[in-house]
Amino acid sequence: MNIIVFDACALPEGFQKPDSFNSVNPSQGFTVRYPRLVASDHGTLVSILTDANSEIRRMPVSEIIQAIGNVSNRFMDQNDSLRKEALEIMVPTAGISSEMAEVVLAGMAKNWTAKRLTDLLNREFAKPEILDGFQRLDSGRKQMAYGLDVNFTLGSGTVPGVGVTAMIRGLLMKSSVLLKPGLGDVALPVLFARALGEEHKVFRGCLGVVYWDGMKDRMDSQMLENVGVVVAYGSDETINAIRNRVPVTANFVAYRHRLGVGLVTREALSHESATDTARSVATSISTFDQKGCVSPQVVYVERGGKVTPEEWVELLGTAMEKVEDNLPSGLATTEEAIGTQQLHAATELSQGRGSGALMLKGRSGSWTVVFDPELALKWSNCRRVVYVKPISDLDKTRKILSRSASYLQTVAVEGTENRKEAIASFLSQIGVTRVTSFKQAPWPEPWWHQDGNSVFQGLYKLIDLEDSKPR
Amino acid sequence: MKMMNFTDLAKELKNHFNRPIDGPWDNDIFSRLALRVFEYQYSSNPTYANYAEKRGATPSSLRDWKKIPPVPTLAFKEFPIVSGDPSLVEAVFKTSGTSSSELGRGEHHILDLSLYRASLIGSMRHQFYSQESPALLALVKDPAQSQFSSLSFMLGETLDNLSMGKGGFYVNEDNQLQNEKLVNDIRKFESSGYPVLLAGTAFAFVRWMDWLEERGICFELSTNSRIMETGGFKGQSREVSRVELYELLGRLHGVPISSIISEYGMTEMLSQLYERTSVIQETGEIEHLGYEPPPWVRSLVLDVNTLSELPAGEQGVLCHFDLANVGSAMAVLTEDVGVTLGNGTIRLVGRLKEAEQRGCSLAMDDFPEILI
Repeated sequence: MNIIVFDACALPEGFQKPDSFNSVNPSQGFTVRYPRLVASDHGTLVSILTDANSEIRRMPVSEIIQAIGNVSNRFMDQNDSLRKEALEIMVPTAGISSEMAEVVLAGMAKNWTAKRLTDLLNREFAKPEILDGFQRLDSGRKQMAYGLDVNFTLGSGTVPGVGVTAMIRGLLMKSSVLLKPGLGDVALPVLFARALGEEHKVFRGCLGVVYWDGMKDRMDSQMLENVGVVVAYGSDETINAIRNRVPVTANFVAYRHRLGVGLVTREALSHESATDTARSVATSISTFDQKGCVSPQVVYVERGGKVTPEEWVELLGTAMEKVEDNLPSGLATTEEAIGTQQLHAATELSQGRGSGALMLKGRSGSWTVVFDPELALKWSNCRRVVYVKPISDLDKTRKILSRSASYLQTVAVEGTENRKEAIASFLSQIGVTRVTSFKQAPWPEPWWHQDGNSVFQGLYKLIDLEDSKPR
Repeated sequence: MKMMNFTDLAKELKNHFNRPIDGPWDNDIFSRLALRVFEYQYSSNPTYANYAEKRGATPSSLRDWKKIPPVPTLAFKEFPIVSGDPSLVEAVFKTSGTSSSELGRGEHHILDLSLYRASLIGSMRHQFYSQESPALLALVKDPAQSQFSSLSFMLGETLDNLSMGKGGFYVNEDNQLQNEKLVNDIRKFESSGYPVLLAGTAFAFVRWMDWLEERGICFELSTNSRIMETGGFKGQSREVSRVELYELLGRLHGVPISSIISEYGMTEMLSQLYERTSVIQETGEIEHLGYEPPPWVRSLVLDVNTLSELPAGEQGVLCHFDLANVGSAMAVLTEDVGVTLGNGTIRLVGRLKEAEQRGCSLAMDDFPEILI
């Protein structure tokens, strides 16, 4: 295949697609087209999805899981044309290399299988059939879980796969779903929605995916009036703007941008383990080209191990180059290239002041490691740039991190298990909700309680049917 | 000894800035001065000297001013960039931009405000005061209330030295536009037929014009009045394009669009570039004629990956060589994207438009990503 144009929409049956399109070039030579929707189109979309909701509601949740699982299998099947198409479109839209696209798709799709989705629901509900009708939970009452009629998800600025995950969560709750993916994530949800429609006709009515440019194309506020839940991904500024437009009658679920942090303890810096540690850290940084909220941007390295932080940085540089060989980064955008020039020049200047900073760079400028003795939290807006900061006192680090507490979520820790719990305990005091290894950091479990909450929070309501009590 | 050098060099540069502007200087003049400023900065700023050497440039080896290693704007956020005695710093101006990390705002430490004054007045006189002395009505805070704002300082100096105190500032301490006061003062100049120079950021103008439109107010400014818009090429307030902004500015103030001039300045640089606008007669379209530096500034467009100079027409990152920055860093590598036009001026592209960023990391938030 040699795809150069992608239509970023999978609209529900019954919706008259407009004739005119807007287009955007996420990468040179590749065009994403999307329908030019006017205000009344938005309203029509929501009303079609609302009408179609009764269909998916009649479908047993086990069948929904099966249909989604079947599509997931197609994304994992090396010979399936759907998977090939997805990989080809992910590269120019997400700005990642084809090798990275494969890793991302594999990591994401494995969480969309029937088994994983069944596990997911089992963790949320004592009996997942509660989504199909009333179930007796205890003596005195029955209970049913009822997803909101229409789930409207705005995935601005997401990494590939996030949109599909959000869409699946809505469908499992038997909501109709309207998804506006981020430009970097248009490929998977559109293809997923089309494939799901081929699996079962129900999904041709209750699911809509359409991209538009959040900066240029205005959306009609009225469409928000008729949806049950709005799920928004984005910067604080974006979240705030959307939240202000959601009516009080609708649920609002926000996923804010976050800052990934890493911590390498002295136990991970023995002569035997330091190289392995560097490899895990390098892979964790490089996955998604460091664009994920789980990607470490700064790594604190504890002194006191056999290998010093200064020595370890060299190992990290070697590991970053190896990862670059196997899992190349995508082509830098102009902004990223400028950011890298700024970073390199500013670091070189600071060295002249005796800052003690060391800088290691990839052959083609594709990655940068800055060893910076200054503890203050720093991060870059370029891809594959990590600040490494030596620490002697964990408590001091906690104080520094606490200044950016509202942006913390995932902390990757490399070290012995028995210290990990103590570290997790003190990190929990500053807002961290996930302490994991570097290896697992990019790949949270589907039931990961993001921000400490259930992934289904706000997407459904529980209905109690109380038994009549004898007089 | 070093300070003597600075004083002498600053004096010589001020003499140049004070001369009426009559097109770009000969290459030899600019080159000679630029290499002297580099030599001075190399000898007076050990941090910079160390950096320049790493980039293969020393006063004895360097012959081409274009090879002077530029200081990135990011460095202004990290530590003071001072070429000379830091204890003699007269003022510190700060950038207003948001910043990731704990670095905060960029700072420009100014050793000699008179050098800044000479540069800005030389340019402002050339752009706005060559024929008349309009009153300056500035939609920014009074410099007395905004000691870190280089824009306020610049307009304060202009008010005192070129408008002879006629005019004022119309943003109060709480960042509120003093709309009624501004209307009253504009009306006074309007009725007396006295020209005005209305100056402000694009953002302030949008708020001002929203207010005017709600009340149905418009003006007929006197002939030779001008509007100076600054900081409008990046990002936008509301969803107003530059063309819309100019059309509205012209219509509500009764001035031809060719009287609207855009200023490009940055805290890290003591000189400014200006862009004139014309209207293509046949089509009525607005044409921006490119930002023109004063003779003591040269701007290059560089390849973003190699930092080598790009030919006219190719898009790259802007690097300015501003002799007025003798006390800090003459060569400044920006984060702005531009193109050199055939006439030697610069068209600003701003930050390349990427509709949305590809990530959910906070590190992405440096980029504008607005609304749904």
